[in-house]
Amino acid sequence: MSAVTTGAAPRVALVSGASRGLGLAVAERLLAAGWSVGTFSRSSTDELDKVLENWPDTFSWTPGDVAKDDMRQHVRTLQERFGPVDALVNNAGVLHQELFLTMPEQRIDELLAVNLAGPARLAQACARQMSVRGRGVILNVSSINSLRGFRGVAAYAAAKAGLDGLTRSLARELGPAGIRVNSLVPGYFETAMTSQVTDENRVRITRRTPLGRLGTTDEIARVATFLLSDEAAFITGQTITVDGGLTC
Amino acid sequence: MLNDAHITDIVTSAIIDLLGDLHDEHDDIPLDATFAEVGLNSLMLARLVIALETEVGVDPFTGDRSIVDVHTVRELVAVYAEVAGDEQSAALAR
Repeated sequence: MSAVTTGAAPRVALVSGASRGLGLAVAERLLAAGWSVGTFSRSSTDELDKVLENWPDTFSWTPGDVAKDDMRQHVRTLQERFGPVDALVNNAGVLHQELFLTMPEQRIDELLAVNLAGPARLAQACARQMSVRGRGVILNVSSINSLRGFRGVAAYAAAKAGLDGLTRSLARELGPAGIRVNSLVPGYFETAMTSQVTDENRVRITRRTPLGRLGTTDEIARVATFLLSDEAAFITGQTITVDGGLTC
Repeated sequence: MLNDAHITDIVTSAIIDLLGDLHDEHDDIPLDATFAEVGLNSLMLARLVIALETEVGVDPFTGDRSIVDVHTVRELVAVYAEVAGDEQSAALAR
């Protein structure tokens, strides 16, 4: 946990979609390091409730939808509870696999809204607050689908590639305001989102991964908290891939 | 109620705060000057809009209106006067 412990005043993070998986793992690591963390997601989970019980004073959850809600209101709500946001983990996202040729137009719109437009609006809401204080860090959680083509995930891949573009432009724009922006690109790791991967594909992915296995949620979360920390103070505008070498 | 003079004061005060040491305390902010002439770069202009949201209570640039279409301090004051008037009219109607 030392990577995110700075010795400074307690910090505040907003982790979108931290009801399970990577988002919740990142939230837990930040909480253990003394941060206050807020999250919102469309629904609660048993795992989330357990973490809320463990950290009642420094962890908060509100129901919310990154594609539909007023993101500035979510940021204001968090500020009222814990203070101004120091870090955003733009984690909320939805993976839907379906051939592009037959995907309903509405589904394309939904995937772009959840995985790109909503996160962009959330980044703006946080960056506005961070710019006033002249510091902050934004971590966009992307996907290896943004780097390599995979069938059945075209709209999702387009959104995540867009998120990486957002990262690079925001790093240029917000660097002078003291705000760092990076993308984290997880490869395949064990989580509810990758549970949709068929056994056949799982074997194929493992065979193509130089390290010969899928990652763990904790391995990805550790890199996320490193990128949020002052240890990464000179890293911005980068796409950090953590995939066991799958895309090398 | 916010009147035009009050809004002008809020906007020019916020600009002076942003300029900090770059602003000569003996000089007024010329209303017909462009933002560049006043000394505001694009990032400072963005921070001005964020600061004014706190001061005035509204952000006029969330809909169709864009800050890139506003060029002078006077034009900016006019935008805030317009939206503040709309907000107050809406409040009175409620």
